Amino acid sequence: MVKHAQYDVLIVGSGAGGGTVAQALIPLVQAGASVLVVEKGPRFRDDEFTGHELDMAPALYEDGGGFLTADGTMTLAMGVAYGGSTVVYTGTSLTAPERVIRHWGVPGLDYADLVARSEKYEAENNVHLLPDEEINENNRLFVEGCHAAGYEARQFPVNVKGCLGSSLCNLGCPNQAKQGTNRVQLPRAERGGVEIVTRAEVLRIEERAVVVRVGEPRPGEKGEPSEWKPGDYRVEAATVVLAAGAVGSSSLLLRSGFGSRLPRLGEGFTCHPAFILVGEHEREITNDVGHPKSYYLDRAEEEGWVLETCMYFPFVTAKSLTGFGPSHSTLMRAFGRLQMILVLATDKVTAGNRITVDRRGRTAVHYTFTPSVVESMVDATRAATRIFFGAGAARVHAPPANPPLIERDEISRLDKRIHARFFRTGRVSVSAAHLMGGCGMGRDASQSVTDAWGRVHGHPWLRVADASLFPDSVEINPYLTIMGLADRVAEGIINDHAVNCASLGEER
Amino acid sequence: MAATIVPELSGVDEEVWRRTEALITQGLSGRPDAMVRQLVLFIRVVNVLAVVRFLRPFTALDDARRLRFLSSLENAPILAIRRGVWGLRTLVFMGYYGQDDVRARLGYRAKSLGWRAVRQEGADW
Ligand SMILES: Cc1cc2nc3c(=O)[nH]c(=O)nc-3n(C[C@H](O)[C@H](O)[C@H](O)COP(=O)(O)OP(=O)(O)OC[C@H]3O[C@@H](n4cnc5c(N)ncnc54)[C@H](O)[C@@H]3O)c2cc1C
Repeated sequence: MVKHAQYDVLIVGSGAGGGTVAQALIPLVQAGASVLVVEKGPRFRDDEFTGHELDMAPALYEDGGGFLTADGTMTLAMGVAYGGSTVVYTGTSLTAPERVIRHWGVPGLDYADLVARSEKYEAENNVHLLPDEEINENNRLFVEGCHAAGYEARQFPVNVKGCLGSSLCNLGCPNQAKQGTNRVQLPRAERGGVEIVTRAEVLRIEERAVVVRVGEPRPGEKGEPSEWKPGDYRVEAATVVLAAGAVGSSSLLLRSGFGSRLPRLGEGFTCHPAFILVGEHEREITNDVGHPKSYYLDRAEEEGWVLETCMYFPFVTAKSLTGFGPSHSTLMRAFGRLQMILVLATDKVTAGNRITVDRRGRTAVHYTFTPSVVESMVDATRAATRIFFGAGAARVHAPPANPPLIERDEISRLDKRIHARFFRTGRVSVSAAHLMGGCGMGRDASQSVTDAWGRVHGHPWLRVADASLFPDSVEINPYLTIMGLADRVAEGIINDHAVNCASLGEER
Repeated sequence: MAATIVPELSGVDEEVWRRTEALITQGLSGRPDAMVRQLVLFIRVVNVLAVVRFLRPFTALDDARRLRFLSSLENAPILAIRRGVWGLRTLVFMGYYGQDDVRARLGYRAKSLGWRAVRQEGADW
C-alpha cells in the first residue's frame, strides 16, 4: 500500500546542490514551512569509514564505482550517500572562471553574484591552503617538475578541518575532516528543522508530487537503516527541487515524461574526462600519506586541459594503468616510488553526448570522445610526462602511448611516442567525476531546460539545484559553483514560496 | 587468463587463489546478470579466437604466447573485444590487488591516521 505525506518543499538528493538548498531553507522552516530531503543513499556512521577500497567503493558509489557510459568506454563516479558526492570528493575548492560564466551566456546569471555566493560556502567550509609541512612529496615533485618544464603549478585551496593526511578522501574521509554537505550543511539543516530521509529513492515525479521507495539495508551492508519504514510513498509538495546530480536529475525528469515538452532535457552532458599518469622514481617518495591533491596546472583556456596531483589505491591504480602482464606488475611493485598526475580534458557541449532513459526506464549516458578532447588529453599527457621527467622520474606510464612505458631517454620523441592514434577507447581507462549538464540553464525551452534560478521551463513548482544546471562544462572543479547556484535556487524558492503554497491550496 | 594478467598468480598457493576468486565473485555480485553473461561469453570467445589463430585453446598456449595474444586483443580493431579485455583485467586486478597482504607487499601504507601514523611509526616509513 502506498503511504501518503505532504510537505511544503521536497528536495531530491543531498549532495553539493541538495545539501546547500536544505540548509538555505532553514528560515522557511522557522517561518512554519515543512522541508523534506529525500536521499537514495544511506547515512554512514563515522566508524564505518575504513579506508579500504573494496570495502568502501561498493558502499559509497553508484554501481560500486563501476558505472559505465553506454558504449562502456568511460567510468563515471557518483557518490550515493547522505552528502552525495561530497562524501567522496577530494575537497579542492575553486570558484568558476569569469570567462566560463560569460561563455555560458545565461540571461539573468550574474558572475559577481555567483562568485559572492560560492565564496560564502568557501568560508563556511573552511577552505584554505594547507601549510607547507603538510604537503607530501608526490605534490612537491609536481611543483618541481612544473617548474623544470616551464609551467607554474598553483596550490589548491581545500576544505578540510583537522585533516590528518590519510590520503583516503575518495573513500570517504576516515577522520571526517572534509567539509562536505554531510559534515556541514545537512547536520545544520537537520538542527534547523529540515527532515532528511535516507535510503529513499525517488522513482517518479508527478505534478507537485513524487513517488518514493524506501529500502532496507541488506544483511551486512554498511549504513544506518532509513528513518522511514520501508515501502512506497507518494509525497506531495508545493515545490519540488531536484538535486539528484547531473545524471540523476536528468534521468528522473526523462523517466517522468518531461522530455516531450523539454527537447533539451538530458542534452549537453560534459564531464571533464580524465586518466591517470604514473611516473616511477628511483627512490621511495611519500605518496600515500598527506592530502592527495594539493596542486594543479590550469591550461583550460589555452589548451583545453588541466593537470592535478592525485594518489589512488592499489586496485584503482592497477586498473587505471594500460595493459597487464609483467611490465604492469613491475610498475605495481614500485608503488612506493610512484608519482601520480591526473589529466583532465575540459570538454565542451557536443551533440550526442547526453543522458537518456530507455523504455524500461534505465539510464544511459552517451559519450563520444571528440577529436578535440582526444587531442587535449594527448597534449596534456605530453606536458605531464615532461613534468615527471623534470621532477626526476626514471620512466613514465602514459595511457596514449604504445608501449605505454616511456623511458627518460625518449624525452625528445614524446610527440611520436604519445599520440592520438594510441588513444583507443576500451584500452585506455578513462573516468570522470565532474558530471555536468542535462538540465542546462538558458532563456527558454527551445534552448534549455531551466532558467537562471533553476526553475524548469513551464513548471514553476519544479526546480533543479545541482550540476545538471551547467549549460556547458565549468572547466574547473565544480562543487563551489554548484553550491553558489543552489544558493540562488533556494533564494528563489523562499521568494516564490507564498505563491506556490497558495496554488497548492487551491488544487487541494 | 588471470595469471597472464597478473603473473604473480602463477606461483601462488591455493589460499591466494581462493581469496582472489572470492573478491572477484563479491565484485560481480551486485552487477547486472547481462554483464556477467557477457564476461563468460567473452572468455569463450578468447578461447575460440586462440584456436583460430594457433589451432589450440588459450589454456594450451605457453606464457609468452598467451601474453602476446591477449595484448593483441587489447588493441583489437573491434571495441567490444577491447572492452572485454578491459573488463577481464579489471576483475583480476580487483581480485589480486584487493588483498590486504598483497597491498602491504607493494608497499602501500595509507592509514587513517596519516601523518600521525608516520610520526608514531617513524622508522617504518
Ligand atoms: C571521487 C570524486 C572526487 C571529486 N573531487 C572534487 C573536488 O575535489 N572538488 C570539486 O569541486 N568537485 C569534486 N568532485 C565533484 C563534486 O563532488 C560533484 O560535482 C558534486 O558533488 C555534484 O553535486 P550534485 O549536487 O550535482 O550531485 P551529488 O553531490 O552527486 O548528489 C546527488 C545525490 O542525489 C542522490 N540521488 C540520485 N538519484 C536519486 C533519486 N532518484 N532519489 C533520491 N536521491 C537520489 C544521490 O544518491 C546523491 O547523494 C568529485 C567527485 C567525485 C565523485
